[in-house]
Formats: sequence, structure tokens, C-alpha cells
Amino acid sequence: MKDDYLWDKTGEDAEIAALENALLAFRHANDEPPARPAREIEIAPAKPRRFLSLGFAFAAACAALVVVFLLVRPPAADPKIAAVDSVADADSKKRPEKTDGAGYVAPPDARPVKAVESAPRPAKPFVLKIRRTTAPEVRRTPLVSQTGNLKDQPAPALTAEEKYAYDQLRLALSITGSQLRIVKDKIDALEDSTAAFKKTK
Amino acid sequence: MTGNLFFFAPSEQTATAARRTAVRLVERVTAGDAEAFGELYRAYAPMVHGIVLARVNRDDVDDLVQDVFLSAYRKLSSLRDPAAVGAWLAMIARNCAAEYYRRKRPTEELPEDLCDRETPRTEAREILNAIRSLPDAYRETLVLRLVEGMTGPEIAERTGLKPESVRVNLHRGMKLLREKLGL
Repeated sequence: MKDDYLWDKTGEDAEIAALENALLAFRHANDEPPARPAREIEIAPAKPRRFLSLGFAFAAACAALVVVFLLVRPPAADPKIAAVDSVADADSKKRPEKTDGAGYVAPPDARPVKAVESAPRPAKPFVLKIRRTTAPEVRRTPLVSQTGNLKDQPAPALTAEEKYAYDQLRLALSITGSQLRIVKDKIDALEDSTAAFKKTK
Repeated sequence: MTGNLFFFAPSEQTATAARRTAVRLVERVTAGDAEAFGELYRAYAPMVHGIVLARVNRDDVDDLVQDVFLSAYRKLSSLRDPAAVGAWLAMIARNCAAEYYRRKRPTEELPEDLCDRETPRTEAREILNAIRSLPDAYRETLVLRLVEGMTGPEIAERTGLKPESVRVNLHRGMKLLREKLGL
């Protein structure tokens, strides 16, 4: 009954018994259990990625808000354009009023009449031609020097809304920075505790 | 039919009793009973030792066995079925052995005559190497049977394998081992 000896050690099998005796030196002999850790280090489930993504999402939202605000806001009154407008008004006053073939005198801001089919050509809409009062500025300074000397340049005059948005952006960035610093500290502490745990192990 | 029932009934009762014992043991260890942890170690250390020995160099086996039990102690609260603690420990042992090869740095074995430490005979090492060269299922079962001296039913009970699977693995593995050793 060789099979029985291999299965449950009943009967005899000299060959298997010889193998068992030869391999006896490898048998487990240590009955002492390992010392249990004196103190279990509780490591809170850290979620640095979630923290980071929240911080980045907050910063991105603030930046997007500022960009949208800057794009949507009405253009500020430019003194140069205002001067051109006054020149254009003066020119239009000097110019005699044009008349169509029927003797009708069209005012300068008249719109073309679309419903009249007998009209040979629709009247051209009034277009204000802007003439430059000064020569266009030529950028001669290199880009590097402009970006490098930002502090030397005079601060641009901001409107009240722009200043408010600027302050809000600075506040948002400072909050985001502090949040990221907290996250970094937590990650560092986690790494330290993990290293300490491995050392004790 | 009656003979079959008579044959299987005692083993079923034994398995049920062993399961209850395992559940009680795990509950005591989870409650912080140091003595229970020692009992758990003494009951399952040979199995863990055999599983690790079937895969890892002999000099590192004892350290890995300790690692397996420490790891199990830390994760014991995550064990869903306390009756399956044997299969769970076997899985941790296999994972630890795999991790050992992942982090192992290349080393070179020193000649045995460098120190006076008592070493197993060359014949025994050759047999163990022959067993290690067998497929996973066969070598693990054969090490538990031939090295650790466990019987087939004990192997099935501790590792959570079916007795039929253990029997097949033992017989096929033994056949392959005989061919390798030229017996």
C-alpha cells in the first residue's frame, strides 16, 4: 500500500521514508513565534493626490475667473481714440451733405432702406474713419529686456474693478500656496513615519 | 454507499472541528491574546515554512516565515472568513516569497567549507533542488509532505486545498520526483 503511506503515512514505503529522513534537516524547528510589534503605528489613509487636485482646481478656477473678467469687461476710455473722434466730427461738419438723385438729403447717420425696391443701390452705412493723430509706436526694445525689468517699469494704472480682481487673485494664490504647503508637510511627515516604521521593523 | 459514508464522516467531523478551532483562535488573536498568537504560529508555521522553502533559498526561509506572521498579525482584522486562516496565511507566504525575489539583490553562494556550521548533506540538497524544479503545485505539496512531515489530510486542512487535489498533486509530484532522481 505505497499510496497510503504517501497520503496518510499508513503502511510502509522504504523509498519515501528514506526521502523523509534525508530531508529532515530542512524541517521547521523554531517554535518561538515572532515578537509582536510593541506599538502599532496607525497610519491615516493619506490622500495627497486629492489634496493636490483640490488645490490645483481652486487655483485654476480663480485664474479662469480673472481671465473671464478681463475679457468681458468694457474697454476703458482711451484719450487717443477720444481725440480721433473729435477730429472725425470736425471733418464731417466741414464736408457738404451728399444728396441722392431725387434731391433727398440724407443725414450722416441715416440707415439704408431695405424695403424700397426702386432704389438703385442701397445706401452705404456710415463708417467712421479713424485717423491717427500720432505716428504708430515702433517696438524697438527687445522682449528680454522688457520681461527682465518688470520692476523698473511704472505700475499700470488700474481701475477699481481691476484692482479688486487683482487683490482677489493674490488672495486666492496665497490660499492655494498655503494649502499646498500643508499638503507637502503632510506628505513629508508620512514619509518620515513610514521610514521610521521600516527602521523599527 | 454505507461504506463511503463511514469513510467520509470522520474526516468531515474533523474538518468542522478544525474550522471551529481556527475561528476561535483568530478571534482570540484579534482580541490581543498573546498566547493565542503563539498557538496560531505553532499550528501554521510548518505549513508557512514549507511553502516558503519550496521557493526561497534555505538561509532566508526563517526570516521570511517571521515576516509572514508579522504581516498576518497586522492584517488579521481584514480577514473576512476566520475559518480560512490557513489558506490566507498560505497566500501571504506565497506573496512574500514572490516579493523576496523582486527585491533580492544578486548574491553569490559561498562554499560550505568556509565555516564550521553544520550543513545538510549534499544528497539532501540535491533532493530539495529536484523538488524545487517541479511545477508549483507539486513542489509545494511535496515539501509539506516530505520535509515538514504533514499528512495529506493535514496539508488539505491547513492550506485550504481540496483533499482530492492534494492527493493528485502528491502522486503526480512523486512520480516526477522519482524520474528526476532516477529512483
